[in-house]
Amino acid sequence: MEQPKRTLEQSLAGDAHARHALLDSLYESLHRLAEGRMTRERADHTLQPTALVHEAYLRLMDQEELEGYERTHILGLAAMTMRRVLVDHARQKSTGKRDRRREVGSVAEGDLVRWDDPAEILDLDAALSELARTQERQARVVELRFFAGLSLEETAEALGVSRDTVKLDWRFARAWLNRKLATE
Amino acid sequence: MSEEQELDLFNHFARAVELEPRERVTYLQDLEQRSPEVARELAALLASDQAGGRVPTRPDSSSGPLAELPQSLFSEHLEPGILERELNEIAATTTGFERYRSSNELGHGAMGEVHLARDLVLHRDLAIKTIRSSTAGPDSTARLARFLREARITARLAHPGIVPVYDLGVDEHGEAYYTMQLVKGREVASLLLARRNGDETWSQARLVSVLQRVCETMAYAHSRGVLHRDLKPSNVMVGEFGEVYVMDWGIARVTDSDTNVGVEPERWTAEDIPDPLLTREGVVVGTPYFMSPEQARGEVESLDQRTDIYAVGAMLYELLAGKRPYQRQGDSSREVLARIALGSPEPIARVATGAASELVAICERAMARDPEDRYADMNALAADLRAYQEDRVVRAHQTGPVAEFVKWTRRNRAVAVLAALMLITLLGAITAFALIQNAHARREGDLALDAKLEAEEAVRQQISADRGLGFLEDLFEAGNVWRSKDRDLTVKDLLDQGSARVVDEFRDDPLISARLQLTMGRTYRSQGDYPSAGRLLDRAYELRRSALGEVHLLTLEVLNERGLLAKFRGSLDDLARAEELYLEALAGHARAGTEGHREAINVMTNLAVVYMLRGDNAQALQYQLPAFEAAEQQLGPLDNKTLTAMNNLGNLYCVMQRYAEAEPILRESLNRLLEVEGRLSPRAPAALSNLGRTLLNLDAEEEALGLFEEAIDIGREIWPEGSASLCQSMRARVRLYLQRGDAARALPMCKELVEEARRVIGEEHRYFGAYQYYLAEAYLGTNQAHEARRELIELIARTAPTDRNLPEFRYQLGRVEEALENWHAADSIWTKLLDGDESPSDLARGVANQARLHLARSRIRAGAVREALDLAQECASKDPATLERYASSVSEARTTLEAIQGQLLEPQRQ
Repeated sequence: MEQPKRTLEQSLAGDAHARHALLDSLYESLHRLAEGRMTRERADHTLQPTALVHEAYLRLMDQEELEGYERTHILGLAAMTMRRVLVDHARQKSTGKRDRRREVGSVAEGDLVRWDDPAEILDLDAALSELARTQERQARVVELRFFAGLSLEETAEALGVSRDTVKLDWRFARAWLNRKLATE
Repeated sequence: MSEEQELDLFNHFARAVELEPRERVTYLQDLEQRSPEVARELAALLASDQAGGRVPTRPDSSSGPLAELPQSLFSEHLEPGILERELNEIAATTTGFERYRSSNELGHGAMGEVHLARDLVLHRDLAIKTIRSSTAGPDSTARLARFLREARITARLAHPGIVPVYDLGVDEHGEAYYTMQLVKGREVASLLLARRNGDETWSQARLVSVLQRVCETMAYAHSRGVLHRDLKPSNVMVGEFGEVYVMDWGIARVTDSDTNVGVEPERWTAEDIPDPLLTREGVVVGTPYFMSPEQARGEVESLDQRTDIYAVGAMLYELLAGKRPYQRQGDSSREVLARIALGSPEPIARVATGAASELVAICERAMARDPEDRYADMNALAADLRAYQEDRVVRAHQTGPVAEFVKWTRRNRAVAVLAALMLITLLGAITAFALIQNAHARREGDLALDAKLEAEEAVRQQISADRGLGFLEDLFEAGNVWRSKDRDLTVKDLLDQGSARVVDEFRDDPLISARLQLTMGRTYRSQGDYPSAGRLLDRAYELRRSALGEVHLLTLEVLNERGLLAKFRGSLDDLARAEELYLEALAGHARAGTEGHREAINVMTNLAVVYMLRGDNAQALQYQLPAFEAAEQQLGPLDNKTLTAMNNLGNLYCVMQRYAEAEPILRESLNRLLEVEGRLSPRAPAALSNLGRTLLNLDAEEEALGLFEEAIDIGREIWPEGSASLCQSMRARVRLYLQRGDAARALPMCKELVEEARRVIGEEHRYFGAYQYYLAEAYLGTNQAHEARRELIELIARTAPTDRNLPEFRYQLGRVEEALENWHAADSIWTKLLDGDESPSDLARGVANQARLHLARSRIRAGAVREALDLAQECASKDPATLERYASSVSEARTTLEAIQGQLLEPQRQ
């Protein structure tokens, strides 16, 4: 692997090439974590995206001795990546597998979207992409909060908007997505 | 819909959700007229917003990697044969699974699923819990055993705090299920999270009463010989009507077979596992944060009710501190357990800044490491929580007549505050009528009104006033102020009720409506509810504007108030908005010819403060100086507004480094303040510190230090429990030592200051950043760069990107990185700071230039002398006269330039 420290710093400075390299390395690391989690145990394993994102983040930080203050930035990238990992995974699963519910186990406590249901993830992803066409920021809020588990404050900071705006964005996006998912 | 309409949709949505239901309908109807498509879309969205759906209301219930661990703690070893027989027995007597038709999934744990179900016999909805035993595995038998035990224990505990179990059975696939009462509500874990995210509906007081109910329920369970052993926020539910349930009795233990519970004790659990984490294969391991030390050490034999008491204490800890005991980022549960077993958590008194000392004492006692030191039973803990809520003396805290008396005054102070608020509102309303009357008189000139007209007018105003007062009385009556227990909610409740009603009830009397909304808006502002304040103030403004005209004093008064609100919101955008509003108000005063009026002077002072906050000091002076002169002339030397304007002016000069001008002004303002308000005036410490700061720059260090000490002494006398103002005085003293270069003396004072500030004003307060910054500087000055770095990173992480001090914080971090010889990290900070060149803030531009100098030096270090030369030249090219902050970097840059030129010449000489 190349020197990750450089990659990250360049990414923070806005170097597009380095950003890609970082996303790739994030993807790889998240993918490996997720795979490991899904095959380790049959019965009681879980795939909790938020936890994975944070874990990947911590590992990244660990190995690169980076300061914590760009955390929201990295988590934002991680959120995008996690979405990709989940969607890719769901696509694989939904082609030619048997009973998918038994395959992937349980769901984060309190979440109503079934992370283990490929169809559901693909639906959400498609709806989210559609939302992003006209309401980019609102879609981004969902991504940050849903896939990276950023708090209100962190999301606000990552997007450079106020907390109230994030609240409203979330509420809007939720109404929009629920409507979309219900009518499909 | 067109793309444009889609974009609009969000704005419509944002507006519509803010409206009352009735207004919302009107809004939709209006929109329907203009663009029916958008209206239809919006209506559908609003319906979806109400109805919910698959996307959860909160994005995530977890906090970090630990959340993925399954739910509870102990594994059970048992022979499968017993269980099979058990299941067969149940199946034989099950009336039939067809009785229940299950539908939506309600919840989902590690053990099983809970579905909404319909009882087809009794025609009622209930919850049905099934176990996922189909996933075979080493722990599936253990899970089944737990499941059956949970059903039986729960069924035999009859208490309003425990969900009644109706029926246990086996379905046609041979899987166990049980049915229970349907509870709609939320877990306390999610309420705590909502509270952390700023949801104010769940006040501390409400959650304390929830914990009290948990204690009462557990007291009952203990009386029946049942220990819960897994109490935690996610196992407590609060129903939609406030009912509190203790859930998940899956690892409960029956301690006493003589009790009425009747569950055969420990039939399946041959033994508990000594080390809770030792047998991890297939075993459920729960959130360990709420586990008692004896439980974490695996001393299962000796567990008793005091283990559950500890868990309630730990929940109280989370409520007070905003984090769980022993919580640290990135811990494995094994590490957490080790810490629980070995030592104490961060003391609650330190992490829960601002919590009532009684609650802190209760929490400490409940969480005592030695069970002997805890409450003896749940009833005792419940009693103390109840006593706290009723404001009686808490046993864990203090006893005796003095304590009782302190409590009594506090109880009555709460009432007194409300009474004062009511009185102020009433007086405010009455003053407004007087003002209106004057304004009327002035507008209509000195022409005497027809006597009859005048009398009619007086009667009309009397009626108006009566209605206004009646409205308030009614409001307080409805708010049930005197009887309400939940005192910290009452003010907000009153305001919410009042603001909802006032629009309709005073539709025919816009002036009194405006007056009431103005008062309520101000109160919302002081409570920190800026959106509500904004709504009311905007409406008040519109009302007065259309009734009295744009340039009327009363209209301008609301304009000033709106500016103040924007200023309080504090972001750069808000400050720009405040500027706009103030300028508009000043233009209004100019048009009305009321420039010398108190109100106009007030606006000028406020506007100057806005400029100061934006770092635009020259502009601030343009308004502050005339404001002071006008106040002095129009209002007299001892008027409150004059004193404020004078103090601000002196400070402004001080910030602008025009100390010689600042000094006499601040000295005079201090003298006047002491004359008017006496030595113990709450404004005295600030005035003393301000003068001291100026003297410091005039090389009168000893006098300055004396003033700081005096300020701190007075502050301690006025606010024995600490205050923001006292912190500011301490800050001034700390700064003095730092400026002297005496970091060793400053360091303990900085620590004390940060500690005190954390306790008194909290980390979120805008002053706090500066204190932490000084602490970092003191660390840096005493060669403890790692500590300095830790403080700064924490500080920067917490600081909003729009905070104007952020460049300064980053700059300091750059210096620390240099001290640690992390050249790369330092360079990236310098590079980033260069963005400040474009900033409107003086501070950011000054810091950018200093960063440029550092970067130049770093280039020299790297051998890139040419680059360094360019940077240093650019740095030196700034005009120190335009910006005080340039002065030091420019003169240093010149020295650096000489050094670089020397270096450049050297190779040529060789």
